[in-house]
Amino acid sequence: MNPTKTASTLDISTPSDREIQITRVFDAPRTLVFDAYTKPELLTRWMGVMPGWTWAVCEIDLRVGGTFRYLWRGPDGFEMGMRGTYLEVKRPHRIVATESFDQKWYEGECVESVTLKENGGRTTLTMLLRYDNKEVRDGVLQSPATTGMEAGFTNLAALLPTLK
Amino acid sequence: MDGVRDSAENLVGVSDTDPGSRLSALGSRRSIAPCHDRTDALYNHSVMQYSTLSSPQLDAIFAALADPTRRAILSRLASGDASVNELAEPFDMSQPAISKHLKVLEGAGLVSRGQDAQRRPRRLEAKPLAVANEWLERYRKYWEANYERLDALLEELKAAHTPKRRRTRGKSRP
Repeated sequence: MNPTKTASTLDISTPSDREIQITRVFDAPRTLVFDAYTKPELLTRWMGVMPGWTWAVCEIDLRVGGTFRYLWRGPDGFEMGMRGTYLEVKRPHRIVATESFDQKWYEGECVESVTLKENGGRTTLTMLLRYDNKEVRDGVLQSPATTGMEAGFTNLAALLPTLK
Repeated sequence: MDGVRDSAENLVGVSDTDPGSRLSALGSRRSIAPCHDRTDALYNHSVMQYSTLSSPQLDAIFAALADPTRRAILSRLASGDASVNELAEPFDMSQPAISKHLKVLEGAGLVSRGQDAQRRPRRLEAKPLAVANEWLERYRKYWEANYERLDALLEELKAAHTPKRRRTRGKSRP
């Protein structure tokens, strides 16, 4: 890794009250970024590779209507899995898929879209997570998991400096 | 990379004692689910940020922060305690409407009431915000760590994709 060359900050924002958006620039053409996101042998080398966790299953059927299955094994053999279905597959610039975790962290489904834009050999990745959570919209406090989280994101970051 | 590893280890280290004590600072009426080892392990893994959301407190905080008026109230309180009247002033809102927002903020533990019985000034509680911010930071760190690994992988892929002819020519040129 060359920090001076690839130094890029991750930007988190909240386009709406049900969405989280992350953007990040990579110093590589988007075909490579796309592959790194969609080929099991590449994806397993970077996503979720936290200390104590290993990949157990990574299956990707990359076509519209195809499914993916990720499973990580953690401390004490505990497993963490997620699955989803591809809604849109356009190499090398866009992937849209539903995703849900084995453990119900939140109600409903999440749709994740990854968009890749290339400029001068560098790729801007935009990952948009859209939660299907009507309770957020209704402003119900008791709603599960994702309640308001998305909306709080950047706003929270913006607010915090004022509290010092 | 050391920084990333350190932060990851810090996350693991947090699990034993911190979440409970920090969350108790929220002063919410609702109780907190006990922290099992497994939950903590998840807590530290990626996605796992989601597991923290099972905490009703965090839900309440983020829900409270989702509203622009409530954020404005918090910003106002950040510069000092204020009564409901004082808070209502800058907004084009009725007192009951402001009170409703305050109730949500109080429910999330973000705002408390001062001692003065007549004025009942509202006060900002910074600790819950710190907890929420910590959650946000974990999420950010998780993806930053992922993408730093992806950076390294991409460098490798780029090298592999560079046509050999060009590389050898460059290298072997006397």
